[in-house]
Amino acid sequence: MQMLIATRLTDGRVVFLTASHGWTESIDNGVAVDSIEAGDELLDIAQRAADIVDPYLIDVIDSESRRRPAVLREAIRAFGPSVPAASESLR
Amino acid sequence: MYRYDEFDSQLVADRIGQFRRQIAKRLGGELSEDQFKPLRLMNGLYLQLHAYMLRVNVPYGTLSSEQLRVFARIARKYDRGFGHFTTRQNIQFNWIKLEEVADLMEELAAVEVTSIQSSGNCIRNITADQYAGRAKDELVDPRPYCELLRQYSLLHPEFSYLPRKFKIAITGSPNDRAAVALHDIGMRMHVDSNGRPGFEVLVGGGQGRTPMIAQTIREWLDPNDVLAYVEAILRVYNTHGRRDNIHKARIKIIVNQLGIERFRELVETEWRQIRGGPLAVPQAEIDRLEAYFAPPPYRALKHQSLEVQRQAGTDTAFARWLDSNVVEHKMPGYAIVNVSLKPTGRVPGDLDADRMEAVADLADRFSFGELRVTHRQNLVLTDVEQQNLYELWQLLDGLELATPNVGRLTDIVSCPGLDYCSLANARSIPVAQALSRHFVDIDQLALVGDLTLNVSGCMNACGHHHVGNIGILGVLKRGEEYFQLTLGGSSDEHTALGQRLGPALAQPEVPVAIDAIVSTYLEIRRGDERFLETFRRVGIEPFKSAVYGSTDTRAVA
Ligand code: SF4
Repeated sequence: MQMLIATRLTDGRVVFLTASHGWTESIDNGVAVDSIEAGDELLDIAQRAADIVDPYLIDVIDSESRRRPAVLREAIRAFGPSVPAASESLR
Repeated sequence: MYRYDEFDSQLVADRIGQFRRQIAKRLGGELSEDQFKPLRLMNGLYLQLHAYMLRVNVPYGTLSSEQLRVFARIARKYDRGFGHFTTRQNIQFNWIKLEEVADLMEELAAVEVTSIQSSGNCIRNITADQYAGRAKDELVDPRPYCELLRQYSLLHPEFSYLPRKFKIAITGSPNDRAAVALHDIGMRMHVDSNGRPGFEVLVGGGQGRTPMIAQTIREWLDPNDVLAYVEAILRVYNTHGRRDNIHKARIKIIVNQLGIERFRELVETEWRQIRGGPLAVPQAEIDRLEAYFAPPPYRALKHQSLEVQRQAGTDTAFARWLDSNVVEHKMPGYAIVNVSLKPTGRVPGDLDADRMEAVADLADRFSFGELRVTHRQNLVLTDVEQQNLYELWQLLDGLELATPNVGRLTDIVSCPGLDYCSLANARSIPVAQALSRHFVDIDQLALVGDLTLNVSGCMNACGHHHVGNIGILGVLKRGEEYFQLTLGGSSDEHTALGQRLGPALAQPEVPVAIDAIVSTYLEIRRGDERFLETFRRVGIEPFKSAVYGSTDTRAVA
């Protein structure tokens, strides 16, 4: 399955395209598609959007627990750094 | 410290105003990302994996307590409460919003700090020895010349679109703590028989995917000529540097292709044409800049108060800290104190806002309000009275900033890697954390002694892995993170590039491998030989067999 990941222009946050062609920060609320054509369609929509930067398709896997990007880099984008922030780890 | 005059302030204010308008155009859709990207990069604003990242210059690593407090405020207000000190003596904020960045820059400008030219194909922050003006072994204070070059290079129209980024470093001490041989231009200051300072100029050093050690282009350059000579080098680079291939665009490639002799000829020809012209630096200008770096009002003290020795005698933890984190000062009765940003298990170089403020308070109380950022991602309090060391140590210890590991195995340099950086192959921070937790025994650290360990998350080498005594490079193999080890690198006056140890290792194998390397060193070292000295004596083989097992049957036979 594929999802469309992008960067929101105003704050640089990672977002996913939703079924209603909006954007969400949660991978669980984004739209996932099965076919190449449907993927191309997502890309097409994203490339016309002015409020995001650098849209591309990623492979995702639905497991029992939750949906995850197949590649580590995209998992880090989806779920945040794998290390705590200095301000968290110190408290 | 240097203080802005009206021109500096106006220039920075104008630039922020311009960038604010550019941001408005981008947000309003008038500028595309392709049009906007070079503009934001000129202002130090990157787009990383999770957010915009702003790199803020700390000119030649010199910082006031007031500026550090503003970093703390920015960390809280615009970021997630922390900042990351980098290997080029700067600070990066990881969670910045485009819509807020111009306001942030104005807050920085109020304390004379900018992010201009911290990215892009221009002259970057000039770096220097973190102990400049304080070190006992120093011949000349490089800071006035760093400031001269900073002013010269700021928004220089001819050098705002170089083939690639351009880095300059200066050391005024024969013990090179500024890694000058790894810069596009490196300068070593010397003093002639009449006590006049001058520069040995090196050119063509760099790390990244094609690491090269700089070569001397000129043995001696008068301070008067420094701008003209730098300009001559930049012009030759601007003309001959490659713009068709980003991997071949740094000056090191040109120096290497033309050869140092030919490159020198080109530079000297150019220099002869401009020497003594408007770029000549009059002594009055050097004097004017030097005045900004006048020593603080030191008290007349005797060297090494008895109290310090007594306390060190009874408190081994304090003695350890003195041994590794405190450096001799040129003024009697004073010391230079390194604040380790490498407590066990933490992210190297990261500091939260509360601690930034606490360190700023300590700088005010113990060090005339002055600090430095080191290229090994620590902070420095420049001028601490020796009799206050014990009290300062206790206070730093309470903040978990007194780990006695500066220059030791767990003083790990690490780039942000795949946790933040969009160019990364692998996560460097978790490797650094795992090693920091693995080598937690302070006695063992002291026993191992001086040993630098550097981790980069990709070939760009921001973690300077090529020149770590032990270097670790993150690579991607079939979608999995692996780590390539190198040994024998060094960034001091005997700069060397590390040699590859063998096949890359999976992350859990890295601490085991480093353990084997360190144990081998402890077994075979002679006397008080440092790791690097042992490595240079015996070569890579004993370490290779320790990590990968002996594959050389002749050695067994
Ligand atoms: S070395 Fe690579 S991963 Fe690390 S900060 Fe530099 S570009 Fe990013």
